[in-house]
Amino acid sequence: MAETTSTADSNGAALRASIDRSLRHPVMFFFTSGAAWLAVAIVLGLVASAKKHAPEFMTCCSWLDAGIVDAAHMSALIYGWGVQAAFGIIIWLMARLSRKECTNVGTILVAGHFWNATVAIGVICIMTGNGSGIPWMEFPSFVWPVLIFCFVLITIWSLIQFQVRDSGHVYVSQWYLLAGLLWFPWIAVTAYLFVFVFDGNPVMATGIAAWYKGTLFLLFFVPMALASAYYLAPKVTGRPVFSYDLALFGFWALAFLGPWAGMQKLVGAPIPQFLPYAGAAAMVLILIPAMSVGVNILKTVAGYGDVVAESPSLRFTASGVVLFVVYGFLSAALHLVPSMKMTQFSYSGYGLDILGLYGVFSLCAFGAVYFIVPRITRREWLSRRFIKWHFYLSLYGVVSIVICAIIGGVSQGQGIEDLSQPFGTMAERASQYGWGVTLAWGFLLIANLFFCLHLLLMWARLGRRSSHPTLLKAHHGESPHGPEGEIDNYGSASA
Amino acid sequence: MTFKAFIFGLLATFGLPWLVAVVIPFSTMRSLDPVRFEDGSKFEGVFMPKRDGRINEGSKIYGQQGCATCHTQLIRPTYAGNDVHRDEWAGLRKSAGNPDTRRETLAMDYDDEDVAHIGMSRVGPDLSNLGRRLDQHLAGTGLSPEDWLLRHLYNPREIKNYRKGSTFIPSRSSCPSKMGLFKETTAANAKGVALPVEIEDGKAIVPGDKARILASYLASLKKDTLGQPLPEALNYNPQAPTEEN
Amino acid sequence: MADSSSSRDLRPDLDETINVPEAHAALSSGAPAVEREKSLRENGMEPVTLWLIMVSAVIVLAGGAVMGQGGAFFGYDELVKEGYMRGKSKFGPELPPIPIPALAFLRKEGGKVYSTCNGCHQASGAGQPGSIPPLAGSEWVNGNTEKLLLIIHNGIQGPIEVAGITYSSQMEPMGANYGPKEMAAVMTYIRTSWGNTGDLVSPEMAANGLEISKQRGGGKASSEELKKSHDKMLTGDNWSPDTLIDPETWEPVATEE
Repeated sequence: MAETTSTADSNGAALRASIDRSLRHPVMFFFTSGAAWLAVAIVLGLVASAKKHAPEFMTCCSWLDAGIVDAAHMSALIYGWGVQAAFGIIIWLMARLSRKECTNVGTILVAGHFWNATVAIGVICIMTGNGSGIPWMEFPSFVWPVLIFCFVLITIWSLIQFQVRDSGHVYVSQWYLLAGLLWFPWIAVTAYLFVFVFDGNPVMATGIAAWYKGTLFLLFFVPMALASAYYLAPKVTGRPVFSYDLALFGFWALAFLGPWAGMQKLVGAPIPQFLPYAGAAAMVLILIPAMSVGVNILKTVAGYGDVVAESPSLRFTASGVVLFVVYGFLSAALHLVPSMKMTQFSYSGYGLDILGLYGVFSLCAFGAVYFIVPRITRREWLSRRFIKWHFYLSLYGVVSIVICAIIGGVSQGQGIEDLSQPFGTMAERASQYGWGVTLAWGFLLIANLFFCLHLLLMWARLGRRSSHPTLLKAHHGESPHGPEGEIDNYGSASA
Repeated sequence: MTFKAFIFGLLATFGLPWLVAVVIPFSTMRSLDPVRFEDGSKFEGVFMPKRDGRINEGSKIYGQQGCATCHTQLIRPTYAGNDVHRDEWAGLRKSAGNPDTRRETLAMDYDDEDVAHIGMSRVGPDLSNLGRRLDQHLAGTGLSPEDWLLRHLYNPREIKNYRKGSTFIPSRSSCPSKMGLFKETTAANAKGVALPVEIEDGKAIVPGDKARILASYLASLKKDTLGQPLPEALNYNPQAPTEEN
Repeated sequence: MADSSSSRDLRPDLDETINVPEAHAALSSGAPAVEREKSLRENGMEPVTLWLIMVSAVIVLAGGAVMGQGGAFFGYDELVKEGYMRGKSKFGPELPPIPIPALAFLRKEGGKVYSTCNGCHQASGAGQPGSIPPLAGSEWVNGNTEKLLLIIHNGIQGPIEVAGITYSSQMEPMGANYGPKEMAAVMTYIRTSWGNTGDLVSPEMAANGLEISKQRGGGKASSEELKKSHDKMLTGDNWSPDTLIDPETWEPVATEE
């Protein structure tokens, strides 16, 4: 086999292959069930968005009422898809980077099934009107201890793998994984106790729930996305990460700013005034780690544009990182004091949330899925076209949602602040943007159908048996991987 | 970076905000000092606005039905937004029967509720003073605020609830129709609480328990100074005298 | 999944292979994806670029400005910004007061004006028997408005018959300084109180009346003069009792229908 940049020796490959073998069931489980929940979340998101501008849409069922379906949509997106995709990434990536096989597959699978069942129960409770009404914590209170316990059962093995790793280089991805695994339980337990268990001032309960919302994104979803990006960018291109110092800077900037974010949702509420403004300042400053990570990863793949274009994992990952930089800019613009007056209670907040959850986290997670699944199933992706459609529709969809929501939100906010405009006029104008958002959810639904179908085929071991990866550009002539062939033929080439 | 430095850094960067932004304000807000009226004022004792209605249960149902997604309940001070000046959101304008009763939201406005439903966005209007608005607009029409609310909750676009001049027309509101909170029964059982919807003879739509509780909660939303004047310490209006009653 | 034994059938006999690389290759031969992976290399040692630091400094300034809005750090007792006083609205006009039906409005304003007439004509409009004529039931009050306005504006001299009784006292020009608004208000008030059956008087009618009074030249009126020359209704914009009036501007409010 021709060796261009550094290629692994067969010893390392054997270890990697055995790690992948040990993990194949839990990781595939998390990705497929996550993808199914993503489909559910997208359908619910479409209904939720439609209800805002077409209230007579699907009034047949009370479990699809406007506020309820919004809550169900967010919960399915975050806990059904988001955290499960993160589980898949965490357990695979930590095992690979610590060079340790997974020995607790049974526990992880059982906990994963419990997680799915609990999320399903939670979503059903929301839809029957028994949720809690707290944004991003809409599950009824009994659900949280179960979810937190399952989380610990699933991820503690990754912490142990890190602890018992052979001494050697600690990768940037491992910083983010470790940090995320420590942050999430702390945040979740705090939120559960202070909102549902301890008695306090109701405004502060809302404040802490808002803090949970902000920190869950910045201190769990973003680190997992970045862990995947910091792994895939050097891995697929074969180049080192651009700058260690920049990676360190970006990591600590995020660690420092993230815990303050969230309370900006309560500007003007009767809580200690420095808190919401600290949250807003953190959201402005989040541009710094966003830019640092963006520069670092994009410089890592700079000059390898053809690799980025060809590799599905790298294409999704690079898009996710670019959107993280965009997120930083938008967050900074929306959380300056004059903009907050207008956009605090408008569609813009939803646009930023979706940019974060879908544009940043989900695109990076898709990149990870497209990389990991062939390795654990030992099959290659079946259809280049499915991947392309997934990519383009996802990108168009999320960018459309963000544009419509943010512009619509600014228009809404301007209308509310302008006292000469009656509320009804402004509401009707703003709802026009809702049509754009609904249409964009339609794009995402189709994208997700391609993704789910493709993933299910891989899960059913129907992937391509080939030594060639499925790249987004057809290779004519010589390929660096040698002649295309079946797996069984592979051993006949010179070792 | 050593592992020890890493862990220490994480603990420091997370622990400090956790304490400062979550734990400490939680405990200080739990035991807020009561605000008293000044010596020499007409009123005595502690300022404690009271609302009538099924507040605690209603607040839970409000949250469960997802009302906070589209409605807010926060009148922000003017450095944070123009809410206080928007017509009828913060209270009543000065008129023949009452002084200017507008005010910002205060910490004790959410007493009796488990969680303050401050809200996510304003697809619909702010509801802090919904009860006050209903009292004003429905005075003299014979319709009580609770009844109006029950009709609105059922389906604002079907029931002619929206007053325009002297007639009632269906609303263009996007508020969802919560038909699940109502039940169908025979006209005989309706006993005068039937909603004016078109339905076959002999049948009637009546509100269920949740609908009633929610309507009671919504009608109780009065967070202005009418009848509950502010002590000087909480009066942020440079023009108004504190005590007009 | 490819069974490792099938790929070892390169050798037809049953010897176990002791060729380690080949054994490894066989093991991972079902995983070409893993084989072709590049290994992660040591991180690059590029420094943090200057422009990034400078841009970060700008962002920190912006963030600091936002923090500044929040007031003192650790200010757990400040639930609103310290020293906050409600500002005027920056977008759009200040809210006007709620419009009031014309009759109710004029009566309210008129009642305030009438307080100067209380001393003689009494709050009950009964006057003082023998000396001050009553306003309640008076044909001068209920009748045409021009002469009523002239009385208020100029005063009365000489005998005047009210409800069958003649009074000979004088009245000072109590309304000498009234503008159209006060005049309209007090006239409406007395015309509609105590069982009186008069209609309301609008400010425009009062303005026309004041003009007539000015042209008359001044000096107290006498009842003969009023009956002879001024026994008519004032002309002008007539308001219906339900017309909504803006209490600040005294203008009818255009209702949105």
